[in-house]
Amino acid sequence: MTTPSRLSQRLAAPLGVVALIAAMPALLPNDFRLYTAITALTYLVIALGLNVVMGYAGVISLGHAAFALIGAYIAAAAEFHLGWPYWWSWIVAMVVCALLGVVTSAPALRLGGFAVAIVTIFYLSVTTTLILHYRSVTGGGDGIAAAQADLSLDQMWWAYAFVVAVLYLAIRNLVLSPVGRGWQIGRLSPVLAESLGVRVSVMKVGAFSLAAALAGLGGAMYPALNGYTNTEPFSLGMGILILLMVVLGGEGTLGGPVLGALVITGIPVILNEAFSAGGNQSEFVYGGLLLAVVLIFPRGLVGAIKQQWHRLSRGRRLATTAQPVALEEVRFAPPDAPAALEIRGAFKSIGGLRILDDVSLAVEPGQVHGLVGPNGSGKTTLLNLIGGFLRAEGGVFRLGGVDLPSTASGRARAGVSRTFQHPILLEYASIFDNVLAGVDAERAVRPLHYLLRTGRARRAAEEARTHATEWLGAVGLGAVDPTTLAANISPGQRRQLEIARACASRPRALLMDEPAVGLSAEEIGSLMTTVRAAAASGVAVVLIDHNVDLVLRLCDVVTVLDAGRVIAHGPPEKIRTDPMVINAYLGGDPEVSVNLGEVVR
Amino acid sequence: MVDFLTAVQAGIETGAIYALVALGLGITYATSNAFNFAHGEFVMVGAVLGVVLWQSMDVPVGLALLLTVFVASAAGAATERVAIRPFAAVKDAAGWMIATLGVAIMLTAGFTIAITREPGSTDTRLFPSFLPRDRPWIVGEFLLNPNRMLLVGLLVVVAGGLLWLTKRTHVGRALGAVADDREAAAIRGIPVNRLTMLAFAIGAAVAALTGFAMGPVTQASVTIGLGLTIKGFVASAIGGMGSLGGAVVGGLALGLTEQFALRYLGTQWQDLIILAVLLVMLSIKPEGFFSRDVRAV
Repeated sequence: MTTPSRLSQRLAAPLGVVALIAAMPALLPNDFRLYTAITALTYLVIALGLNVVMGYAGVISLGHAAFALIGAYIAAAAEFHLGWPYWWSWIVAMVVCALLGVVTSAPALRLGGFAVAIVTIFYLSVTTTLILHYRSVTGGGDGIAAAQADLSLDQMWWAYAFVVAVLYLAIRNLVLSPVGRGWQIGRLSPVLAESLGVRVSVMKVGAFSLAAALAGLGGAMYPALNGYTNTEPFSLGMGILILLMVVLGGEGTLGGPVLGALVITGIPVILNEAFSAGGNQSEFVYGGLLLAVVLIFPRGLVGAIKQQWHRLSRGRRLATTAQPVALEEVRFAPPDAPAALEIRGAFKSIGGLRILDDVSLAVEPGQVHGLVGPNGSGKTTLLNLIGGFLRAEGGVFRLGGVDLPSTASGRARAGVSRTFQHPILLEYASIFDNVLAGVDAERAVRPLHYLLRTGRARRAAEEARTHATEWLGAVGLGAVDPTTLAANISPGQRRQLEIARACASRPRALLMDEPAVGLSAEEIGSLMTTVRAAAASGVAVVLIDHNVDLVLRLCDVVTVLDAGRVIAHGPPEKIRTDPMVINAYLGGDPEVSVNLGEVVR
Repeated sequence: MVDFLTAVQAGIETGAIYALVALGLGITYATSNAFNFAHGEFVMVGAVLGVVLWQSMDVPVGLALLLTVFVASAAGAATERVAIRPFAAVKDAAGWMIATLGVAIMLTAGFTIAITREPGSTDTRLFPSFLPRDRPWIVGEFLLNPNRMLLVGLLVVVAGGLLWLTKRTHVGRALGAVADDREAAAIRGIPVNRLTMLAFAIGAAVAALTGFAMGPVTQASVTIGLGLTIKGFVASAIGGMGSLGGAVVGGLALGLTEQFALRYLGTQWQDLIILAVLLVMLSIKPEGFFSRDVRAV
């Protein structure tokens, strides 16, 4: 790994950045230019946070300037009234804004992402009004004349650039960790995220709080640079400018805010010097840019560059066709504590219609339990009840004799995993990263470890990568290039990938919703091998499918539902000839002896 | 007591504006499930374009109103086409939010550039009353300003009109189907995209009417847009996003809260009180008082 050439390759980019930062004051001999660059750094601090909450967690904050305003006044007032050094007040500002972030986002997220956007705008106007009103503390419209930090402009640049670099690295660590994947999965599909044990709303509030803290810091850096602060710089316009930095550079990319800050800082300079236009003209350009970028490059400049690069470098590398899985290749790590899944007396009505009526079933570890029934018999509803995606009106749901928690994410953490009728994959992530999302469900290390990239976090990440490779092999995807995008694999491989992801979370019970839909005979063969292997490792499997023949061949026990009630239950041989079942499927004479497996194909 | 009733009166008068904004927002939200950040700008267009046509270009007042409403609804439809529809397939709120914000910023900046071109002109134009009587009636201790009364009247007319549209007309029922379930509506052969566009045109027309009617009360300023979008949102959030009754009740509740806070606590507390009401409301009843039983469309 660390041959000299590799090492120098790995160090080239970071060293280049360090050199550029060090040389910047020399490159910008004009004091005003350097001052503009330092101001851009404070904006970049805010933009880095906004990118976390918007680009990764998918929550937009338009009034982010409110937190910067609060940060700026905390720093200035603490210096002016109490004589605090700026370093202290920076930390206080971050803590205060992080708390405010929780208070703001937790209620607003209940209505939806746009509610957060608007509540934050409100925050800005409220804070501005209050600051202007309480003149004795804040100096009102005149602002506060706090002392400037005792540094030359060059030193100021280096100090601020150092802060930005540290923040960038910390955010990078977080984004590439299970926390970052949790944000992205929650944004893509809350249902998938919950099924992997991610508490989506908690993760979003966390992201918002982090972004608010960074905005507070960005604001707190203002008085140290300028020697005063008032409310003027922290307007809605500032919020929009920072939003534009993130969107233009590329939301959800690490380099996006940096590139965005560079371009956006450049635009007014260019407009002013080349066209002698400013103010409303640049605002008009900003508005147009926002619209154009989201329409043309949803992932901004960085995303567009990456896409071109991807197209050039590995456009032809598509997945190979499905390979049949040999049973001996499949080795599933057994769950830590195999447990029986037990449902007793489940009731559910939707809109006055009884969907499930006193349904009970028990699944032993190592068993594959099939659930069949005509359309509308309540199979999928039952699966959703077990997974916690719907709330039952009555009934006991137990795993290993212990009542399951009520939320889907809680049940996932208790050991109930699932696959989906239409596989939900991170389409533009590699199949490796998709499985990694499942491995993350085991996450044993606290977010702070990931943020600081401690030894424990590194070991956990190393282990996760090993496990992900193993699971890809276990479901028969070992021969596929792990960097293949999930969007590019075959339908059969998508099912296998979902099973790998579900099993990677080391579940004790696995719920499978119509896994065989749309698969070829060979692919069904591989699927059956995989499901058997999962069960053989000690997982309790519940499987729904319309392909009755498949269910009868694959399952150890079969339960038949009709109109929300269990009408038959037992081993496949018994179900195959049960008159009630045949009647439910064919509506015919129960006396006629037919073989169900052959009828319903 | 008189003080209290005066606050109630003022609350209803400002609340009518918020309710009108929320009604327009509601139609577009119900059909597209997207929150249009440019909605308040159409109110601004109604006031600013209206007064420019009427006062600066000497267009007769009725024709100026008609032209303004027409231009605004065309702009509303265009917004749907450019900033909403491209993101309907991708179920990610970030796209349309940023896109409609882009439209809003361009409209504000564009109108500012246009009307401040002449030296010495500001971003606010004087909007004289177009009613036959401008002086208030004096009823006991109260002043009834005809221009403000007009806004309350407009609210009644617009709310009634939308109710009639949704309950009694074929188009209205189709809009309701789109609001209920876009996919199901599309399967039944309802032209979902065209109807969503129509909803945006109607929403913008309501906004422009509101802007023109409030001109004599607030004057025509290019900067009012985003503020009204926000107030419209708060009204909708209190009443119930996308609900017709919710928009009216929420708008009036917001107006009253604002006026009471102003009268009994002072200006600096006005926004804080509303923010607190909004946050409490979102915490205990995120779907608003009227959830979506009574749809705006």
